[in-house]
Amino acid sequence: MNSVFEAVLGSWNFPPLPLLSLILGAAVYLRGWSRLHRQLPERFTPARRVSFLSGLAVVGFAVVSPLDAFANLLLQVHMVQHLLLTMVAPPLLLLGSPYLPMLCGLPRTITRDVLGPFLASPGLRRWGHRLTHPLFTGAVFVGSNLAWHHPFLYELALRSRGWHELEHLFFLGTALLFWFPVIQPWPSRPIWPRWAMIPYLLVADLQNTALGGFFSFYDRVLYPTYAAAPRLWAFTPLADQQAAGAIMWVPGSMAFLLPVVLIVVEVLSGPRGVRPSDVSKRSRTARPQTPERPASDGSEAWDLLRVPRLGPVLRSAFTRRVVQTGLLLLAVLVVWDGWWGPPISSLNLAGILPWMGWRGLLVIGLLVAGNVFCYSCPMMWVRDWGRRVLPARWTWPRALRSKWLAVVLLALFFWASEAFHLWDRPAATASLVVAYFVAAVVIDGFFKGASFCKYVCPIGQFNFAQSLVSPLEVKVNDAEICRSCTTHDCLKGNATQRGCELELFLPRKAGNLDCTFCLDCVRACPQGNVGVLTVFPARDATEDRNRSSIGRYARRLDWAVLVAIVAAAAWAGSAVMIAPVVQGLAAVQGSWGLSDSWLPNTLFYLVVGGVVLGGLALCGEWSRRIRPGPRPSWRDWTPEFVYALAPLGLAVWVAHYGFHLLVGIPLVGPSLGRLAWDTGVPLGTGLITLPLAWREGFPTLQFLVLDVGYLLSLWMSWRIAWRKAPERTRRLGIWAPWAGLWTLGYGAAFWIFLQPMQMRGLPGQAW
Amino acid sequence: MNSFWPQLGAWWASRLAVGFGWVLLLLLGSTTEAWADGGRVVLQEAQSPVRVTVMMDPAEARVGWIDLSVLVQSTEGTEVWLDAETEFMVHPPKGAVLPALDPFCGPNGEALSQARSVANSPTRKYVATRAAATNRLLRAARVHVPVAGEWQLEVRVRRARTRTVFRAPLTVLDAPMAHASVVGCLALPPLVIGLYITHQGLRRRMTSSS
Repeated sequence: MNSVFEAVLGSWNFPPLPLLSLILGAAVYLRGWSRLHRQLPERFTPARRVSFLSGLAVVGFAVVSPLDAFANLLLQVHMVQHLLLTMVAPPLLLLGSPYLPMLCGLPRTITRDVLGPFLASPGLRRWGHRLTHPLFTGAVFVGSNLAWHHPFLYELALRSRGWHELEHLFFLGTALLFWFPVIQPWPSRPIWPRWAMIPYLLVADLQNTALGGFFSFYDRVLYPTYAAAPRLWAFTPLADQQAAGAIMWVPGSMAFLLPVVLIVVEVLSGPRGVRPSDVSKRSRTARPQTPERPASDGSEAWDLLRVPRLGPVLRSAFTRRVVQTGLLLLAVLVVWDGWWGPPISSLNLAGILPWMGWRGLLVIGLLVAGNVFCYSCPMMWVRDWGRRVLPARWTWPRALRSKWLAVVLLALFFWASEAFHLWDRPAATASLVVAYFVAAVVIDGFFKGASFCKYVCPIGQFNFAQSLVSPLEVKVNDAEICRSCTTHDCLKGNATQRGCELELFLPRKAGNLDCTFCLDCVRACPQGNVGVLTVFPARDATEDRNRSSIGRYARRLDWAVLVAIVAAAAWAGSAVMIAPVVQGLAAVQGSWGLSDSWLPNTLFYLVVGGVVLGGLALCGEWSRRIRPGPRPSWRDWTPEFVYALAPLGLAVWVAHYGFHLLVGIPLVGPSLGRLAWDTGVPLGTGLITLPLAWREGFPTLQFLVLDVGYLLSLWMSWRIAWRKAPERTRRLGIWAPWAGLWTLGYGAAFWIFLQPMQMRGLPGQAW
Repeated sequence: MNSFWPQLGAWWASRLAVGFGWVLLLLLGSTTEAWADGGRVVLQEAQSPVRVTVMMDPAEARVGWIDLSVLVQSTEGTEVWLDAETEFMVHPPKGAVLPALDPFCGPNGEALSQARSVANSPTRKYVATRAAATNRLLRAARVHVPVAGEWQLEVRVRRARTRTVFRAPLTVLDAPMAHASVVGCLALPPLVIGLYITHQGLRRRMTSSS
């Protein structure tokens, strides 16, 4: 093959966001179509599905194929791209009757609770009716086509990626509207009689012909970008413009005239021919006939463990052991390198893996799945081994059966890592890892159950607190099955499998607190009734109920303080990385004549912790005073609201640790290579490179994560306020102080992430 | 036959869904380094036997990263030379103080590669490759311009024994305000809150009317 031709064919581009949207659209449609096909096979035929998927494929082809790569160099290629977006893809998409499949394909909670009120609103239906009126759709299609071909807008689109994407969105959106009355996808009803589509299409064709003719016969180059573009295959700019005009004129007209012919045949042959009077009468009373929703397949939530092939693998104890072993090996490498490697954190695995890689993966795991670190915790592997030697029969002291010890340890950990720069001391990091393993083995070696995980482990408490926001939860599939259960294997275990070591009884378990995702209960349940199910993030924490081994959130001040400490550390940890705070602390250190920064850092952590805890206490007091009726005690009132801080806190952690992860990935290769070299195995020291687009898009992602966390916190506190006060004004009064506090926290986080981050301990400064 | 189609439909649906998932993974993993090719033409010149067209995206260079792509053709423009090796050299404005390259936080170890190529020089060199370009007729590279001012762009083309150098000025403007790029993110919460209030209002109306 000619190498130039090969290069042309190889010019594909894969923009992640449009592709993700297309694939998500296809997945939702396929899910909805397969449900509806079972109920209405004559309506939702395989041909409809093929048509819709083809439409998506055409859109995908237009934006990822060489057409897009050459659109800036040749107007005729750009014209083909636009024709695909306006003449080919929209009719195919509409022929798939996408309205109901897309609705049925979404999770029921979204369709019913989120979209339901909008879809049922008479006002919005009226707007929808106007939006699909042929007068409007025709005008907006023609208007958009003419406007975007004006040199000013066209040049704008050629020079700016954002405008170009907007142009494509306009073309696709207005074309979908234009083709809507022509295709009339079920269950919509025609507003105009069928024959009226003939002049409708002909008028649109007239505009297309006029514009195509103008391109073909105009004797000057319309768009300066194409005049300046390099000439490919001896096309002059004018010849290119004429070719583009011809493409618009001939194939474009065919796209309008072919449906005209089909409609003429259809009207003349009768079956769909309708009297105008009937149509106008029907259009006034038209309502989409939504078929009865197909019966649910059982539980509404989606169970990760029921995914074919993946489910059995995740459920298997062997899989957990394999993952734990992998992490154990990494821990050994970290300890080895920390003690015997170079004392520079950026060259040492003890500086890179735990402080830059692992923390980022941990919080991202919590955000997108659940407590995946506890699932893969290597300490549990070692602990199980230690228990074969040690007695493990004492009961954990009653006085310590709360989270207070863990709160203190976690606060100490956050403070020590910053005050003593543990992240910059590989040997100290290695010692900490070893101490952690020893503590797990000793505590669980002498005490029953998972006392270390439940009452001591600071990492575990961090994970528990943040998994309030996770979208997955270990829970029973069918409560009815549990009612008839007498053995309670999920809690007590059986001959082959231990039960929950954290004393969570699955039928009464709600939320992720204290759940390590070990899946022991899944394997112990003889009915196979326990799964890893999807839940709406953070909703559980807005409900007041008695939970197994936890009790009511409102009564757990220790849990509330834990959530608050984790969140406060999120702000403090991010703030000490930015220039204004670093400079301020250095100035304090200098003015006090200190040789080390631990005192200013300690004071900073104390101040941030004090502000967060004080703010929460004040809001609790303020909102308590607004509550109608007898005033509850501060202790009974405030903790519940504090849980609403968890989403915003997790968002700050993800934005912060995600940055470390992104910076840390390229360093893993050289560090591993260096370690191998030190041990006499020359593996090379290649850098792991990331697409630059990832790094450039990361700040936006940070802010989007903050947005989601902030909105979830607002929503949680609103739901709690709703439950506590039936009157609307009081409810708003109760909610307002919390909303104000979350807004302050969001604003502070936004400001922090607008500053350049300082990677202390590394040569070089801001990103 | 009637029972055949639904079965076939479900079979295809599951296969298609799995297929789409794989396609997504493959495609997301194969993003090119440069974001886009083309853009504004900043240099078009012919020096026998070579003609180059250099394009820049975004249209106006600002402090930070820019995409530069180059099309190398024969002087008449009738032939595209895919095998011509091309480098971009960017010379900073006179008297400009450039920030030190950061070997770790810098993008993909840029400092290490620069240290090998032009040690102790403010000039930075970037090898343009076809792999980095979306349009494979072009060669592209992402170029870092850390300060504003009048830079000089030098394009070095080598093919067989022929070496040609082209030069053009490159005006770099100040970086856009960081805040401008996040306005959309700041606007999202009020938008969602507005939608939520509308949603709750509609829901209340639905409940009261029913």
